[in-house]
Amino acid sequence: VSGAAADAGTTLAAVLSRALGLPPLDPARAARVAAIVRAQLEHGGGMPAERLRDAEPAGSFDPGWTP
Amino acid sequence: VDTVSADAPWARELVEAARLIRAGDLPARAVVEATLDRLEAVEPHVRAFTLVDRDGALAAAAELDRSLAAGGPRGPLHGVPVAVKDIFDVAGMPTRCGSDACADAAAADRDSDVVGRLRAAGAVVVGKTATHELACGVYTPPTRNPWDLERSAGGSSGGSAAALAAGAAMGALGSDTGGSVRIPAALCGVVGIKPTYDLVSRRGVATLSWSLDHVGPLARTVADAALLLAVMAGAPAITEDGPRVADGLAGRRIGVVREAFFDGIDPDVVIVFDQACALLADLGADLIEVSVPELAFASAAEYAIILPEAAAYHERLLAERAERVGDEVRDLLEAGRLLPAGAYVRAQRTRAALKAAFRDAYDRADLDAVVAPTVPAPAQHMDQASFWFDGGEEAVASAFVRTTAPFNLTGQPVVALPAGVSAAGLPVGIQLAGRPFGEASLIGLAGAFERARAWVAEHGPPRALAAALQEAGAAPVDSTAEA
Repeated sequence: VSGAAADAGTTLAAVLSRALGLPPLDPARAARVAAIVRAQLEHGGGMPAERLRDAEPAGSFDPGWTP
Repeated sequence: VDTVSADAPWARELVEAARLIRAGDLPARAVVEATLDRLEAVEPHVRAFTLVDRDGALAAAAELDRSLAAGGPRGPLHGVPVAVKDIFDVAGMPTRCGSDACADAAAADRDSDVVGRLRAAGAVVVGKTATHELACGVYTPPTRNPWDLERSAGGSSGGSAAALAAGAAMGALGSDTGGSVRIPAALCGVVGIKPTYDLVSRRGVATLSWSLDHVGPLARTVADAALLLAVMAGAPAITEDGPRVADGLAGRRIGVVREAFFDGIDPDVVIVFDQACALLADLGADLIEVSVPELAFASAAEYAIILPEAAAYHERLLAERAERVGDEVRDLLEAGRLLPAGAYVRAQRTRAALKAAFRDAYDRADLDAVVAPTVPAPAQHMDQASFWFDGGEEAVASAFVRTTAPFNLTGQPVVALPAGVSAAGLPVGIQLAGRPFGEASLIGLAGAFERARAWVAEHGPPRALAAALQEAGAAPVDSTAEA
């Protein structure tokens, strides 16, 4: 990230950390963490909602598919 | 430069050594001592171990020799030297997870389930192997790749793979959350199995992601890895002499999926992969192109699951000792604490969709397995951050995870095995992914490919390591006489 986006992301990371009661992040780390979070949010965690209409979250302890 | 005799006890295949030990034709102590001698010779170059228990291993081997004479073998791994990734609890040893934040860990008071099973079957733990910090990365410093000591062994189970390639153990344990067994196996030219999710107990193993972690074996051959897996899973399907391997693959149907695996790939990997497919066809398999468009979203889902789960697991560590976690991993954990719950839920829904897509693809084409490159490039240099594919740059971790993580999401069993070498002489591997709980069938298929490819006979052991040993003045290691 760069420029205004970097500033906003860093601020967001710092604000979120504070709101969650986490130890403060130094500015350099906040910027790196913000970049990771922004990248993840851009991907949205996977498929777009319209393609997930019938998909329930995968169960952690059930492979969901047997031979 | 290769001065290694295949008859040296440490150089034998695990299944063969175990058979000789059980029959009383090869003392366990001779095998373990030769392996420890080899370990000590190669370790200054490879740096695969974080802890070596020479005295404990030799004492255990001597006891196994006595118990064999008195009452027979303890199990199928009687006297076999194994190495354990340093995220598994081993009674009497600390579990440091490759992190300064865990450097003060006390010795574990009991074995992890899987180490307990290996020991109950007669295996001897020679030491603990290096892991990328908290099992979260693909470099595993300071471990070096035995095929090129300037390159990475991969990760996160890099120490286990490098130890095997260097001859410092006959079998090893690894964990695979986004490829951490298969990536180092591919880079170091050994075999790694990621079993079906939850087939092998994770109790006593440090977590990275509860819903994606898989415990699996690494070894130098498919049969060796299969025997380890059978013990680890408590599965009786594989005999002590290894799995049944068919002479041919007539009637076996193997899918080739082009999405994701080939989105960016080293040309040498494509050459080896095409040769592997040709060999599978020569063996009688039908190769069928199949499409799984959902693969485009697999990496996004993988990271959106790993990061929050890892942050949750390490919550206390972050609260108490965050400053002792390396920057790369700490940044990921901090990001995991901040990701919104919606991204995690969407990722788990994407995972369900990906599973369904693979199941449908297997059913539609009546597939036994899917074959793909294990990773899209040979081993990276220790300080190399990215690859360039067709003019595009991709971070090393992202490139590797792109081809391995889909099967962590689906939970399918996968065997990663060597298939050839790059122009620079670095190992290149393929992975065969089967149906859930279809390990026996998959191992038979992989074994047939391995036997036809004869990779070990053609390429092992790594010449770079042999040259380093010779340059260092180490005598040729041939401990045949000890047997």
